[in-house]
Amino acid sequence: MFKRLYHSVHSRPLLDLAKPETRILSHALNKFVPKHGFSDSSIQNALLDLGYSNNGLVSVFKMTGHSDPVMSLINHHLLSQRQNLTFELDHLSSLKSETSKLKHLVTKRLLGNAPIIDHLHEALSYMILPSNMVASMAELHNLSDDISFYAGDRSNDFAWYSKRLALSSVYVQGELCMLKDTSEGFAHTIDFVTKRLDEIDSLGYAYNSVEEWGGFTLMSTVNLIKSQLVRG
Amino acid sequence: MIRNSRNLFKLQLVRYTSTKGKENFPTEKMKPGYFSDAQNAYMDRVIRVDQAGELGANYIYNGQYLALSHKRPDLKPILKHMWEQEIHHHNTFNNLQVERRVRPSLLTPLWKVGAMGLGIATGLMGKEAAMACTEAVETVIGGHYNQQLRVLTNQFHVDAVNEETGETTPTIPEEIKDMQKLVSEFRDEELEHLDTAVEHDAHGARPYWLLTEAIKLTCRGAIWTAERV
Repeated sequence: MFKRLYHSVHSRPLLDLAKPETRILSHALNKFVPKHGFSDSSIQNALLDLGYSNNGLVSVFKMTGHSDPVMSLINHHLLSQRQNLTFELDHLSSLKSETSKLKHLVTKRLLGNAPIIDHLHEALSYMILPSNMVASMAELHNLSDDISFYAGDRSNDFAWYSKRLALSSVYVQGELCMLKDTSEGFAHTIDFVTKRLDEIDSLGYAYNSVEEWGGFTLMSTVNLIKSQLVRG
Repeated sequence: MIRNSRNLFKLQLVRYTSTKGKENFPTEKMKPGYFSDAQNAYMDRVIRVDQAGELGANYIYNGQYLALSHKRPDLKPILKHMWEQEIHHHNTFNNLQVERRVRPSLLTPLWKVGAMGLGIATGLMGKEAAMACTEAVETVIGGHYNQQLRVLTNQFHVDAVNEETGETTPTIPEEIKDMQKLVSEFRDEELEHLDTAVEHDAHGARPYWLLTEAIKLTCRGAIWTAERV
């Protein structure tokens, strides 16, 4: 969360489909993960399907920065879902408030898990292994940063941190809720997340109101003392 | 003033998009390259530390204005003028921080309290101490901006790719040129404040050496910290 880099006007795309490992992972994710889950066999199937030999599996995925192919596959899922959020930008401009934009984006992102919902628990348990924890947390905060940015967050102070932390925690709660959700179109999860975001919104409103009241009281106390001093 | 500065920033944003690739590239087919990780990390630091610095400046003048405006009404227009310029700088960097998605300094609340305290304390010590404070702060900030300008001029050649021939030419991207312009403009204004402070008896502060050196040291420490945290 503390390693957030400058975004130039021309930033690199999240996924570069020109790279062979990205194409292999995409293919595995779309075609084999719903059946085989996040596992070596999904990637091996994708390799064979695309006409590669499946011998050099581990060495190919050294390139993606994760020494472990399964984590590469999970990370590819996270990145492609995060990239999908950029397709929502047109729709977002029709929404008025920041909270409604947040709700829309969080819902969209959660529903992005729907095709792999049967294997989401595998992915989650894999992501929280000690060796994968750092990368998973970094990606979680990238997600909440993207969502806040697209929703039009303009905070310049500590609120920048608290917003993103709150959003991350809501998202994780939403994902956990989704694991047990059997309702049509994940209606329970969406309902739950919407309520949680409303709570955060009212918490922020309460904080700002208290701050405003405090400032006002301070100023009027100073002015009161000043006027009493002038009267002697 | 605040509204003006926002408009100015909008103009700059428009320029980013409208003149991009026209001024320095002979053909339209030039595709600007990507920054390296080190360049991104440097810009990240630049925006965070400058935002924190301008926030500090804004609050120092705020504190001095509070402390001095009743005792020395003759100083009001001078302080007000400098303060308004700092508000403009602060807003510009606030906008850049949001647009370029840089995280603000984690210690922002501390910078606010510290800067306001410094402003009120030097203001209460009198006109000379307040001006000596301005002199010390602006000396450090002027040097700091100069250092940034050096790096922005020397280290930011990014390979632009000609899409027809595949040739690469090292060019300074438009957004860096705009940043150079911004930093040098702000540096000049900060140095103007320095001159104003010296004209208004900054050197008459007692103890002058101790006061200015202590403030300079604090500023350097704050810059070092705000770049990182």
